[in-house]
Amino acid sequence: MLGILLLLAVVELVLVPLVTILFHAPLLAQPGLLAALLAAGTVGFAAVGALFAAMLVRARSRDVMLPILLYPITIPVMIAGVRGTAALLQSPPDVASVTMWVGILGAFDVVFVTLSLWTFEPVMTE
Amino acid sequence: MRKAFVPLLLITGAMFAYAPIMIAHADYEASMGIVSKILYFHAPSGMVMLLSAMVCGVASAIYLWKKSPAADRVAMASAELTALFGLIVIVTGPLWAKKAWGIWWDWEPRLTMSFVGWLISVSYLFVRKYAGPGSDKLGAALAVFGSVNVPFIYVSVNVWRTLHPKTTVVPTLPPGMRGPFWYSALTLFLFYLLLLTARIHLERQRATLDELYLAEEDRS
Repeated sequence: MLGILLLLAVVELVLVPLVTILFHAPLLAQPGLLAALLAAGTVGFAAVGALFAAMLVRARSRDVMLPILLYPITIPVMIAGVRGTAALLQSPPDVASVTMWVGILGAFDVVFVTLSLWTFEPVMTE
Repeated sequence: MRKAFVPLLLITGAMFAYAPIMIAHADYEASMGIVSKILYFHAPSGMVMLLSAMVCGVASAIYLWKKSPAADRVAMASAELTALFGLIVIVTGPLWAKKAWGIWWDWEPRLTMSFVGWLISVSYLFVRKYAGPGSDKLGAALAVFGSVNVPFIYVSVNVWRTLHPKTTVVPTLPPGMRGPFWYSALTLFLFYLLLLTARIHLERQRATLDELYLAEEDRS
């Protein structure tokens, strides 16, 4: 999970400045909120992704199964991240709703990380 | 549960037979017309779907930690019923929405979350069927995550301003509609219990059959 976190963080570090430059997006107007959105979204995505990827290692037709499983489970995280960033990109940025989406992301993170840690052991042991 | 099956079948059958009369005599809602009768099908199915997803999640959690095969059978049966009732909900929903909102579908929180919940139950069935060995645990973990979605589906209409009516609509139904509504909810709930019992029984028979085959192979 730490590996995924690191990889995603590096990709974000490259992508965010690129998007800002290429699309003239006012992404960096509220750096704190943007960082909170990115961090919360990455943690939620990595927790579920790591768990399901680890579980699927032994399953049959795992390359088909991973998207089927991961897509519905992480949709709430993706929606919250996208809507939060969209609110951030408005001019002026809609700080109230960005904070709300960060809160929702945080709630999902708590639930997802707890559940991942709980289910990891019974799922992985024979 | 098995002894209760025949009485349950008779009661549910009788209630289903009487339901159309009850619904036909319910108050006529002038602004929606005949389409408002979907209420007696759509909302109770939604309730049963959420209940069934919860049952599936709890049974899966029990299976993960206690390793009881009975819990696994309950989870399997419940997941199929979640998919079934979810299908009813997302088919009747747009039929109603077209009349009420003028559109078939809108990506607002309640609808999206319900759709995701239904998608999770379908992917559970995919995993159980095609993931091969170890799919029972994989599916159980998925169902535990899926049941987390349920409270979010339930509160989504109250948290966000959405097109979908709030949950507080149900207690404030006019008296002429309230009776038939709860009657339909009870009927569909009994129907769910009936299908669940039958499905668990089937799954148990299948397990027994597998054991018999294994015993036979050992002998020869």
